[in-house]
Amino acid sequence: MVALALLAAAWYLWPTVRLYSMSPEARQHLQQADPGAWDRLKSRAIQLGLDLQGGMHLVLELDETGRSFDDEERQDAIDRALEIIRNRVDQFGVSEPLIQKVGEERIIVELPGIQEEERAKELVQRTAFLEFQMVVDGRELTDRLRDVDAALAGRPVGREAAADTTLADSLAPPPPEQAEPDAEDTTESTTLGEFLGQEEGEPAAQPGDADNPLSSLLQTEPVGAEAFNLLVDETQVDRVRAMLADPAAQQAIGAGHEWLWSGDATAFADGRSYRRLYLVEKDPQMTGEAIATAAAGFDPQQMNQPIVTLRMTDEGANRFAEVTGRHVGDRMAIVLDEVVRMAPNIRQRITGGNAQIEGFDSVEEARDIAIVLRAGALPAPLEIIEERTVGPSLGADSIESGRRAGLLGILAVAVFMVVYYRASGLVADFALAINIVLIMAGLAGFGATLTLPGIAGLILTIGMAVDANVLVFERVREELAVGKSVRAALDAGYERAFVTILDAQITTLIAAAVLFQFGTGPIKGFAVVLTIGIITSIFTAVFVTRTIFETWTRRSVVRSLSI
Amino acid sequence: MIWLFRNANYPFLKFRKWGYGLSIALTVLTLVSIVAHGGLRYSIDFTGGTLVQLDFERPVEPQTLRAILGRMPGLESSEVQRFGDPSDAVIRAQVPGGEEEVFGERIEEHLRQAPELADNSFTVVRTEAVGPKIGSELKRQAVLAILYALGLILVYVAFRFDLKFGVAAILATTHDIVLSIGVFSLTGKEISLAVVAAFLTIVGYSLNDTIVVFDRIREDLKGMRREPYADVVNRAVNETLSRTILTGGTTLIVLLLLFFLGGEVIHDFAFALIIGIVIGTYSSIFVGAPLVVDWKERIEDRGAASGSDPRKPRKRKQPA
Repeated sequence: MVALALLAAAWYLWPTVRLYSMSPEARQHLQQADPGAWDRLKSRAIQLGLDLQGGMHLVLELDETGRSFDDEERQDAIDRALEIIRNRVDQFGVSEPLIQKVGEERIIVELPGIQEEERAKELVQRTAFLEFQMVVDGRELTDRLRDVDAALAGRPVGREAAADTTLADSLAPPPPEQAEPDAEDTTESTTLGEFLGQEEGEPAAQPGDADNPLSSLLQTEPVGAEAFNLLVDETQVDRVRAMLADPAAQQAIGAGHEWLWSGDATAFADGRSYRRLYLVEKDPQMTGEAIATAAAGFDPQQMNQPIVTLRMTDEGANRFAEVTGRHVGDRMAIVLDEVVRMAPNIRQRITGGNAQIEGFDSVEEARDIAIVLRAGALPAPLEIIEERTVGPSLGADSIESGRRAGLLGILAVAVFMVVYYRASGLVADFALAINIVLIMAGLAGFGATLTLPGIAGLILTIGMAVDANVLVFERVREELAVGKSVRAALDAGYERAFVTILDAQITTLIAAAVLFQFGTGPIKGFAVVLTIGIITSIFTAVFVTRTIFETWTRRSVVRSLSI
Repeated sequence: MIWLFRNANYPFLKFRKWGYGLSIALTVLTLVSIVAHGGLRYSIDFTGGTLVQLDFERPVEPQTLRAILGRMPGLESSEVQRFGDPSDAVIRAQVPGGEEEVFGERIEEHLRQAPELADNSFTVVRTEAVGPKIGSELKRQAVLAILYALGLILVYVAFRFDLKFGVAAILATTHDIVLSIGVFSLTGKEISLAVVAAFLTIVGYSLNDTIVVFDRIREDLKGMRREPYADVVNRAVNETLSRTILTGGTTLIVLLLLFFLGGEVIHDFAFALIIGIVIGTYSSIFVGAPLVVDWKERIEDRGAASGSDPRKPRKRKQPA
């Protein structure tokens, strides 16, 4: 039985020993030469927890600030989000990710060895809700701004200008080129007041102007003859946001419209950074559902510009052709997660169902956006409610300190046992060694994960594992002291101590089981080690050492026992 | 041959009043300390918040970091601590309103721009961000977990022994947990998830210790007919004394090694276990066994007809 246990242990431990004794080069080689064998080896070896190998642990929950879900909707949303995140992470290329639902409404994402945390977070959390929304430009925009100003200043909102809607049709044709996202450095910005002043003959508004609270904070960036982007100085963004959120201001733009911002602020020639503000039609012309696939690449015209090309479904392509045909000359905002990525001018009806998004800071960003667009939008925004990341160096340090403390611990306990129990102490040490091997084998066999608290649990188990032997040996000493023969003392000692060992260890086992239920990640690892350790220590103390003593006393009549 | 406590016969039970007195005094001290400190100090696992661990190229003074963070609005109350090595630091911050996860980035960004650290680069080796909601949930779960563990064990011990042993074991263990919390309060250490795990382990260990003594009491009761109950218990405590000390000793050795060599991350965990083992060992001798005797003498014997057989603790209804 003992031999069998050891054989099984060796069988389970072999992959672990092989994997961790390999040099990094050898690992890489095997990974490339035979991925199947590599995966088998990895999955059968002891896994290291995120706290030891480094990585990122996220707990996500549905963000219910905007809307509320009933139970069924929430379940459905979570299940779909799980699927989509899994899809995204797979495409991102993290090795051995763990994406799991916990409880009813949470998702755990574990990404081992991830280095670019921000990027990974974006990838997981991004709703990726893509919308194509028409931009309100020209005369209608200026009218709306005037209305908002009036509403904020407490004047009655004048509608007479807005009535002249046919004006938009008679405006000059749109510029042949859309505004290049990188061209604005050379663009002069003008205050809105000046802009309006040129048209309406009013004096230029000054920032903080009580009559024009909103427009006095805006600058314009002409996009062709009639259209212009609204610019907000980066430092004023919060102020403008608050104004736009005002109920009166909301009412002034009408229920069918909403304000949207561009992503990052851009530096302009005047040395300041601005964010663009767009007034768009609330109802999108199309959404991300129309997208069949997305890929990152470079703009064929400008080689260094990363872009994402979108290929639409047949249905999407038809709709796109129809929408663009109807809106030639207008601007259409491509909005991802409520942020305007770009707002190109529609020059002609676009058939074929291809589109592209520009304005990325890096190829990586373009690649990530392509991934999330391919994998689909999350059914609802997710909130990160817990995040833990461990750098690989810290994990390596932890393993190193754990190993040192563990080895010294084993040594100290082993020496102590020999000093105190002499030859019998050696037997106990042998059992201890087997015990450690069995625990490791148990970890590998159950596919458990070794965490930092797990290492602590292993070390703790080393100290506690000798307990069973101490109980037996103390008992045997007592029996010998009352004059029993070696054989009889051993028998009585083991027999009597066994009940005690069982009773005592079962209580520890109960505590470990509760711990397993309660803990997440690292703590669970500790509970697992503790549980396996308790079982193996009963086994080694009772069976292994007893077998050794029995073999010895059966062969010859033993008169004295070194204990 | 080395033989600790050979034929030990210490009158532990005679001094049980002292034991109770000390335990009660320490419990009171715990409560006073908790009140004086305005409650326990919980880690961000339970309060919610952000933790960033930084590894600098060169040693850095926590003062310097504090000064830098003090210039940033919203970060003035950040706690900065050296983390083991002089070039390692941990920054903890409480963040209002669900901004935990962006806060780590802001701290990092702010430090990168600080002129004081221009010649001392750093890497972020660990970040943790816990939302307040999950924190309070964990706190509830932690309390529940400890209560469940105690409840299950009470049932097990009451089943294997009898009710008075079960109650005594649970009281002794609760005592261990309370005093361990007291040590954390007195030393101003934070109670984290790992520390709670350590407390749960103490529940297991301390009971293990207590049960070994109880087991011996039960066994000795079978043989001794005429001896007073208290003497039998006292003998059992003495008989298991060497084992209690030896196992406590080996466990303590490895835990001390873990505490000193195991690295900073595991420091508080190891500390909690050490405290727990010491208190647990003390309580199985001075709290667990004496409680059994007092229960027997004051509740069972008083309730039962005089001259009840001391070797057979009978099942009894729980007294009011």
